[in-house]
Amino acid sequence: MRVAVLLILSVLAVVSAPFVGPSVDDAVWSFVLWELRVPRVLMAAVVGACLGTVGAAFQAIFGNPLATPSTTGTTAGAMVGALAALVLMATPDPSVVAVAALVGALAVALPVAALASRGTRRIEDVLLAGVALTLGASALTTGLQVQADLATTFRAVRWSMGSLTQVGYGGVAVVASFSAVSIVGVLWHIRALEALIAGEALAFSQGVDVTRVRTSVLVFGALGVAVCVAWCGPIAFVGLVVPHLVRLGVGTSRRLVLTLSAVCGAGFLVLCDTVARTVWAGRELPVGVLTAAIGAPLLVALVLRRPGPSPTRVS
Amino acid sequence: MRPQPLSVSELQVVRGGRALLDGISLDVQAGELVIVVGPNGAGKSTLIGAIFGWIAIDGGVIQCEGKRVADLSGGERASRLGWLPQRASLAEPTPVIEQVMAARFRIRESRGQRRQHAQQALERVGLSHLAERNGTSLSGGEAQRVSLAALIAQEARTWLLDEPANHLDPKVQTELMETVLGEWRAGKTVVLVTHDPDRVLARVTEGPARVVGLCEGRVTFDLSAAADTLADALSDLYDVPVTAITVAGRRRFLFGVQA
Repeated sequence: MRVAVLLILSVLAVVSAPFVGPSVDDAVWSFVLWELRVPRVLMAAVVGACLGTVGAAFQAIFGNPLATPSTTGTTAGAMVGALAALVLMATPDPSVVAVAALVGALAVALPVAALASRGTRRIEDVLLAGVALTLGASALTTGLQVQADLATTFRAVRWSMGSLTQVGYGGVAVVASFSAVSIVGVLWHIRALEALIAGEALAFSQGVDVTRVRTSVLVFGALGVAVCVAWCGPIAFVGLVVPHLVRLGVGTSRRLVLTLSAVCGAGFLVLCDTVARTVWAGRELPVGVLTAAIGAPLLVALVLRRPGPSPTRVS
Repeated sequence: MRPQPLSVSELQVVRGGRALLDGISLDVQAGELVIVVGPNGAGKSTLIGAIFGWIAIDGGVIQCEGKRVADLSGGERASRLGWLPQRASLAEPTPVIEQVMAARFRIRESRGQRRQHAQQALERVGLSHLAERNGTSLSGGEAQRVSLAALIAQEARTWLLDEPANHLDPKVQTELMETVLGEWRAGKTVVLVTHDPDRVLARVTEGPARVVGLCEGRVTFDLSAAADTLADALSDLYDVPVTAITVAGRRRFLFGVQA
């Protein structure tokens, strides 16, 4: 029942979004609807579905509800790769940017995974490593931006805020196909991800090939993140927010969280983007700013609410 | 004749120049109960980790039902060996029933069948009423019984239990041990690591049961559970006086008490 409500709400958000916005003249309505709004909404849906699913899967393999592509450094790695391509090439070719983003994402995701796989390593340390890599990457990002001329820098800054730019149906088709590969590749391991609920050693003893599952999920996840980042910039916190919204809506079943994060992610990002382009008449808020405004406080709230032994204090 | 569930020979695990396991050999026969005892740091948990394979070994052979454990696929291994950790902690809130269902990873079946088996396993530990509860909201005793239900649901032929009752209150410890020993009497092979052999031995009056002492990575004794010299062996192992007395017709061991 609650699952159905969540699904209907998400689909409703996607279907109704193209009709939301300033009214336009009848003469251009068809153009605005079919050439501007529909592809943009489709892009938001695809990117939201991909980032939502990858976020839920990262939470599962790292065994931590705070682990997402943004908090483990994958997004930052993709960003450095993409920016390097954007800045260094005179006329950026989207597919080269995407490949560079994938290389950057994997360059961070795989070492972090190797770190996480050491049994003695606490997951907090892995997240801190992710934070360190993200900070390092943002320094590189700034460095790359000031290397370029003014126009390129402007473009790079706009891009790095994360926005669903006009890419037309061609771009939507490319991002959709790679996202589909990423989502299927990640959810292929859904039963293993369920078995990881009580830790890697126990899952291993139950027959899960933990190393293979972790590597596969990270590679397919990084692929999805990289493609989304290459086309739309780093839209922060979607992978963190969406799985938690699903949990809030339908409960804690890991299976439901993994499968519903795609649909719910699509609905969530479409909703955010619709707000971002309509809330300020005549101007447009980068959607990444909006998702960060929702995600950052949620991250803090999750950290504060985390169960576990707290040190005994004398006040 | 069932194949030999576990055969460890000349097992070596060296870390940082120190031998954590120093030539351990241990044979477990089908249907046996092997109680492994030893002081902290003796290498008991290392032994279990090495048997499953998440601790790399530096020498020796570990075989399960005639094949090297390292050569088994994940599914094959999980059908032969099952593990109950000291304490399983959930990464995030999850319904109890799903935690138990997940333990049947190796088995191909419909989701309905999996749920049914998980429900039966929960009934065996007396927790079927908690099936839909959130696993992170359980008490320590309930959580450990859910872990035991998961182990039952896995349907492995041999169990390796690593101090499963360590942190539990006497009632839960007793119930847990009764369930484990019930499975053993029904034919399961059980290797049980514990600091409290008395609680186990008091409930074992017949059947093939042994006590193996481990100290500084070596086997110091390997005795039948009925052996007269067991009290002395335990005393040497833990370096405390151990006295055997008979209560209600059963031999009990008092640790730290001089006869």
